[in-house]
Amino acid sequence: MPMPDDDQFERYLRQFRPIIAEPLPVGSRRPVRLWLWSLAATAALALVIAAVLAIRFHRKSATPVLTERAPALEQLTSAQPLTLRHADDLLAHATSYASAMDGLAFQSERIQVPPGSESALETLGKENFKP
Amino acid sequence: MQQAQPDSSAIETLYRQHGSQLVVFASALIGERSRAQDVVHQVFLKLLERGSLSRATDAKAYLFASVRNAVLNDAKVRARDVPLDTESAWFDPPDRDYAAERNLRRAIGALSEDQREVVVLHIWGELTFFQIAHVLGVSPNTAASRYRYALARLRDAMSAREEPYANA
Repeated sequence: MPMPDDDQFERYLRQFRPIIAEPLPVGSRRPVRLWLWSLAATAALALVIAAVLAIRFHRKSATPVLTERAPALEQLTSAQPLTLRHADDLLAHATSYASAMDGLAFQSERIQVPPGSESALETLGKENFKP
Repeated sequence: MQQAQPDSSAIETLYRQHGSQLVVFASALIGERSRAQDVVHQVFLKLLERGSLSRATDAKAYLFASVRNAVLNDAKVRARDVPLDTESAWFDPPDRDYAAERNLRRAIGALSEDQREVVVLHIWGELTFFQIAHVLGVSPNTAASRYRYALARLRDAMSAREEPYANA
């Protein structure tokens, strides 16, 4: 049992009231979280918009290139089938043998040889060259 | 005994009810009120994140134990001995006797940590010796006897300067 003066002393001590604690920083934390979420959502939205715009821009910029190339392709497809004569012409006018071969190879991939005709490359392939 | 509180509003209510007592308790351990306030905030913010007092059967004792653990962990990390801060007040003194308030803080600081804990928990934390035993991990008898020694030492330390409680 505490002594009577202990009780008196305890009563005196209890008159000292703890100073009120500062409020919990809950109010400030929640807006911060909300702010972070909204920032992340905005960033994600901006990325999506940027991606959509980039795709659209790419398509728009890609379209003229195709139309610019279109005549060249038409020219190739409408070009005469590669015959032995045409190959001779190419070899005669080419700046080098390699560029002539490149030209032949390029055309052979795209030009369909009409039925009844024979590709110059096929003909050359049948030739038995001797060094 | 209070049961575990399941939601954040209940935890905030607990802070309003016991926050001041917990800050005084932490101040008595740390010696610095501002750091004590931070520690108590951290404890409650963790509880809010978790959303409950988990397995606590006595919420008040659990809170004091949590603050004590947080202070001890903080002290381990910082590995430093903080002297009692004599500048910032811990209490609203009776009759605005701020000299007595300083005297009380000085007297609390003169106690050993064990005695300081038990006095603050019982007088200002308003915990029973059974609850104090739970917080400190000692028997209720040990808590009670530690308190009696601490009270005697506190009275001596304060009497050395003044004896206003003689008329209380």
